[in-house]
Amino acid sequence: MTSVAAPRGSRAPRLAAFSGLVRRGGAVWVIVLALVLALTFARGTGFWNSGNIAAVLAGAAVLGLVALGQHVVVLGGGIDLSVGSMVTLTSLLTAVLVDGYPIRTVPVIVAMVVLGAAMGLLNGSLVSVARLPPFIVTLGMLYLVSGVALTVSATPAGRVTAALTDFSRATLGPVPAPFLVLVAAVAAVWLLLARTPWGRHLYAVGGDQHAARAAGVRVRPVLLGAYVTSGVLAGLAGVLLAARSAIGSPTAGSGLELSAITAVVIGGTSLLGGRGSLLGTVGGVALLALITNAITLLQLPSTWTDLVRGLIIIAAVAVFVVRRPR
Amino acid sequence: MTTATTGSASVLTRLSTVLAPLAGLVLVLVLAAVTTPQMYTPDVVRIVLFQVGIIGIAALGQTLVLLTGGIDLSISGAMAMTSVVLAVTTGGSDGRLVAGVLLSLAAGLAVGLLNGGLVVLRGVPPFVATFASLVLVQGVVIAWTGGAPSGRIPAGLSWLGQGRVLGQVPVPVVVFALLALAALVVLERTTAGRRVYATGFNPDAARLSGVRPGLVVVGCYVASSLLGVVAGMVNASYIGYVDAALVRSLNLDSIAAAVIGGVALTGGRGRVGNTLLGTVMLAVLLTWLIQLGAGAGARLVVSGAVIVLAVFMQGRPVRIPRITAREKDTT
Amino acid sequence: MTHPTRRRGPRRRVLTTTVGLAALLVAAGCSTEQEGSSSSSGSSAAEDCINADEAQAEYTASWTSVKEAFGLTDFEPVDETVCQVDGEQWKAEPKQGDSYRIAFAAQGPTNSWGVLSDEALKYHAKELGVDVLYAAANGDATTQVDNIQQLTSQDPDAMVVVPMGDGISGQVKAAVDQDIPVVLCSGLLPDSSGAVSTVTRQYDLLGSAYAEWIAEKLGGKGKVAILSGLAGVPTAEYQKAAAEKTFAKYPDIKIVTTQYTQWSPTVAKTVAQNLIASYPDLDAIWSDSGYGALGVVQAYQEAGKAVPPITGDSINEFIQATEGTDVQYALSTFPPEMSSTCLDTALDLLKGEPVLDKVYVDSPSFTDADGAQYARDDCDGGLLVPSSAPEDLLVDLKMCKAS
Repeated sequence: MTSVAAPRGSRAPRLAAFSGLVRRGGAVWVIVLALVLALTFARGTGFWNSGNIAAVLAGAAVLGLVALGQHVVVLGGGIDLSVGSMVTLTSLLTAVLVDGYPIRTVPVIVAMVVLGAAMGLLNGSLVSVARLPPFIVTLGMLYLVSGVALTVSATPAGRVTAALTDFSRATLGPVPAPFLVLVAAVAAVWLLLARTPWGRHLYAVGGDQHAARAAGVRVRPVLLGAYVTSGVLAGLAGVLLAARSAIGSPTAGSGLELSAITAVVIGGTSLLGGRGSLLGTVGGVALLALITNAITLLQLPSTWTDLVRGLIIIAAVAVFVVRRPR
Repeated sequence: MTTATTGSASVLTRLSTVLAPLAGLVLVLVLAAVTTPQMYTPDVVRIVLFQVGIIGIAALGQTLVLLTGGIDLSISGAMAMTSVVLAVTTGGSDGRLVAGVLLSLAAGLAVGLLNGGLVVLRGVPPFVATFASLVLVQGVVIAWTGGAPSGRIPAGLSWLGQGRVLGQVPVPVVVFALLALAALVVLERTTAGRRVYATGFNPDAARLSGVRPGLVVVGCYVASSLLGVVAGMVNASYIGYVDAALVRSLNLDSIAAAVIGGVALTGGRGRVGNTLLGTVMLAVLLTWLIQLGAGAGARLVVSGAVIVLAVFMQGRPVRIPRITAREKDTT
Repeated sequence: MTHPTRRRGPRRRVLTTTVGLAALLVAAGCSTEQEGSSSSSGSSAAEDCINADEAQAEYTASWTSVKEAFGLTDFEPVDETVCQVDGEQWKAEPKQGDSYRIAFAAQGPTNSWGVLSDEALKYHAKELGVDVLYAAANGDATTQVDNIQQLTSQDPDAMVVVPMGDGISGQVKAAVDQDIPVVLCSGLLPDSSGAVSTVTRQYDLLGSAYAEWIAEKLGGKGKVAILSGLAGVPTAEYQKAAAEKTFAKYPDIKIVTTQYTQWSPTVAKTVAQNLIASYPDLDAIWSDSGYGALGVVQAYQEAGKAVPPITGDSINEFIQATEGTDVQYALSTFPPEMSSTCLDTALDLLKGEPVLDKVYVDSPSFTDADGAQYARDDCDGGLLVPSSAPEDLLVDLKMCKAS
C-alpha cells in the first residue's frame, strides 16, 4: 500500500489517503456520485424514474460481465482484447442455435458458456503455455473470432425463445433480471478472488510472475483460470445480449473490449497486474453506463457526445489512475 | 546496453525474430503464386508497394512507441484528423496548402504531447491514455465539423498519394523508405536512439546512466503522432477527399505490422528492419486476400491466425525468451 | 412478406456451418415445436388487411418510377403486402402538456447522412411544434438498445427509430408493449419487432434496380464485380442479396468477385486497383454507394482505363467528379430527409389518421444521361442530391452555402 506514497515523503499523508482511496476503487465512485448528483439537480424526475434506473442497470449488465472478466485477466498481468468478439460469437450462436425452439434454450446456454470457456482456454494456453504476449494473442483472437462470427452468418440471423426475452425484460422492483446476473457474477468473482487460493495466487502472479513462481505458485493453471473466467463471463454476456436483442447479429459485441478495459482502468486497477479492486471496476462500469444515460437525459447536442465522452474518460484516467511504480 | 551483455544468445534471438516473419512472408508469397498468379504483375506489385508505404509510415511511429514499452492507439485518429484539418484550412485550394500542412503538424504535435503527458506525468497506462486521446480526437473532429467531415484536399498535394517516382514506384513507399532510413540511422547510430532502447529495456537502469526516460518517452509519442500526420497526408491525398468513413475507424494495422515483424511489446527490443519486414508481410497478405476475393469472415480469420502464428513462431526455434526475460528481471 | 423468405436462406446455411455445436443439440431440439412468430402484435395480418389495393398501388409506384428513370424494360416489384393500420388503435392526447413528445432513436452524426437524417426530423418537429426526445446510437446497435430502453422510460407519446440493426427488435417490441407506437425510419426490422409502421426506401428496390440496369446495359452477358458496404450490416447485406438474386436470373452474367468497401472511397479505390489488375475485362461494377463508386472511378482514371458502367447512391461529389466524362452510371438515393416523413407518420398515428404499415418512400433516380443537372457546386460533397431537405436547414448545417 505504502510503496507508492512512501518515496513522496512530506506530501505523504494526504496523498496516501488519496491513493489509498484510488486503489480501493473508491475514487471512481466519487465521479459517479457527482454525476448522479448533477443529474438529480438537472433532471431529477427523469433520472430517478424507475424505468430510467432500469435502463441504466440493464445497460450495465452486459458491459459489467465483460468488464468483470477483464478485471480478472488484468489482475493476472494480462489483457483480453478478444472479449468483444467472444460476446459477438456467443450471442449470434445463441440466436442461431436456439432459433425459437424452447427445448434448446438451456442446452444452448450451457453450450455458450462452455464455448466461452473453450475460447478462454485457448487464450490462456497461448499466453501461459506458449508464453506469447497477451495483447497479441487476444488481438489475433479478436480478428479470428469475429471472422468466425461473420462466417456463421453475415446477416442478422436466428431467434431466441420467449423465455429468454421475457427474462431480459423481467424486473425485481426497479432492478432488471440481467442486472441480477451481474450481481451474482460479481459476488462469485469476489469469492474466487478473496476466498480461494487461486485468487491469492492470481494477485501474486500478476504482481510478479517470477517471484510467484519462486514462491511455489504454479503459474500456468492460475493464468488459465483467469482467461477461462473471462471467456465464461463473455459467454454469459453473449447469452444476455442475445436475450435482449431477440436476434443474433454478427457485429453485436464489437467495441466492447475497449469499453471493458476503460471501465477496469478508471476503476483504479493497474494494467501491470497484481493490484486492483472489484469495487473500482464496478464503479467504472457504472460511470460508463451513466455517461451514455446522461448524454440522452440532458439532450446534449449530438455532435458533442464523443467529445464529452473523451473528456470524461481522459479526466478519469488522468486524475484517478494508479501511478505506475517507477 | 543490456542487449550486448546477452552475447551469442541475443544474436540467436535476433536471428529468430527475423527468420520467423521472413518464413511467413515467403509462405504467403508462395501461396499467392499458386492461387493468384497475377500477384506478380507490375500493377499488383505497385498496389502492394503503395500499401507498404501507407502502413509502413504509421508503423514506424508505432515502432518508436513500442520500443519505449508503450503503444499508440491514437495513430489512426491523428491520420483522420489530418485530412479534416487539411481540407478545412485550405478549403481545397493550393493557396493555403502550407498553412494546412503546418496546422496539421501542430495538431499532431498536440496529440503526441497529450499522449506523452498522460503517460509520463500522470503514469496512465499507454494503452488507455492513447485510447482516450483517440476518442477525444474523434470527438473534436465530429464536434468541429458538425458530424459531417468532408471537403477536398488541395490538388497541390496529390503527388504525395498518387504520384510515382521514375514512372513506376508509388511516392508513398519512397516516403516510407526515406523515413525508415532516417529512423534506422537515429535508432542505431545516435545517442538518442540508444536512449530509446535503454528506456524501453529498463527505465530505471536508463535513469541511473543519465538518461531522462520521461523526455525520451514523450519524444517517441510526439514522433509517432507526427508520423501519423504524414501517413494521414498520404492517405488524404491518395483519394483527394476527406473520407468520413475512416474518421471513426480504429486501425490496428500499424501495431500488427510492427509486432508481426518482431518488435517486442515489452519495449527495448526490435529494429526498423523488423518493422519493414512486418509491413511488407502485412501488405502482401492484405492484397492477396483481396485478390483471392476472400469473404470478410475469411479475411478476419486469416489476419487473426497470421498475427498469432507470427508471434508464436518468433522465438520458437531457439528458446531464448525465458532466459532474456529472467535477465531483464534481475537487471 | 419479404423477411421470412429473405432470412430463411442464411439460416439454413448457418445451421450447416455450425454443425459441430448444433449436433449436440439436435437430439434435444428436434423433438419439440419451434415457437411461432406469434409474438408480432402491432402489424396486421394479411386477412384483415384494410385498404389493401390503394396501399399496394402506392408501393408499386415506387418501383415504376425507378423503372422509368433507369429505362428498364423488365422490372417487377417483389411481393409485398402493404396494409393500412387501424387508425383508432393508437389515437391519443399528449401525455404531458399540450404538445406531443416524440422520442427519436437516431443514428447520430456519424456521417453526413446521419446528420441530415437527425436534423431534418428536428427541423420538421420545430415547424410542427412537437417536442423531440433525442438519443443517438452513433451507428451502434448495442448502444441503440440502451437508447430505446431509456427513451421508453421517459414515456413519450410515440417513438421514431432509425434501426441500427436487427438486434434492437426485442427492445422495440418492449416499447410497443408499453403502448408506445413505434415508427421505423430508414430501415427494416423483422415483423416480430411489432413496429406499427415502417417508413423507408426499399433495400430490395435499390439493390435489384442497380443490378437490373447493369444486366440491361450488358445485354444480359458479362463479368460483374459486386462492391458492398460493410460486412454484417443489414443495410449492405440486404441490398447485396437483392442484387445477387437479380443477377441470378441472367445465366450469362458472372459475378467474378464480391468485395467490401466500408463505404469509404479510400478502401474502394484500393479494391478497384486490385480489380483492374486481376479482372482487366470487367464489364460492370455493382456498388451500393456513391463513395464506393467515387473510389472506383478514380482508380480506373488513374490507370488510364475506361470506367465500366457503375451504380451507387447519388452523392454530390460523385456527380461532380464524373461531370464531363463519359462514365456511365445509374444512381438513386436513400434520402436522409425521409425522417420528416417518419415524424409525420408517427403524428398521424397519434391523431388517429389512416397510416400504412409500410410507407415506401419514393426518391429521384437517374442515369448519366441527365446526371449533370443534379450537381450542386454550392453544396457539400457528401450531400445526396437532389435533396428535398429545406434549403435553410442545409445552410444552417453548413452543407450548402447561402445563395
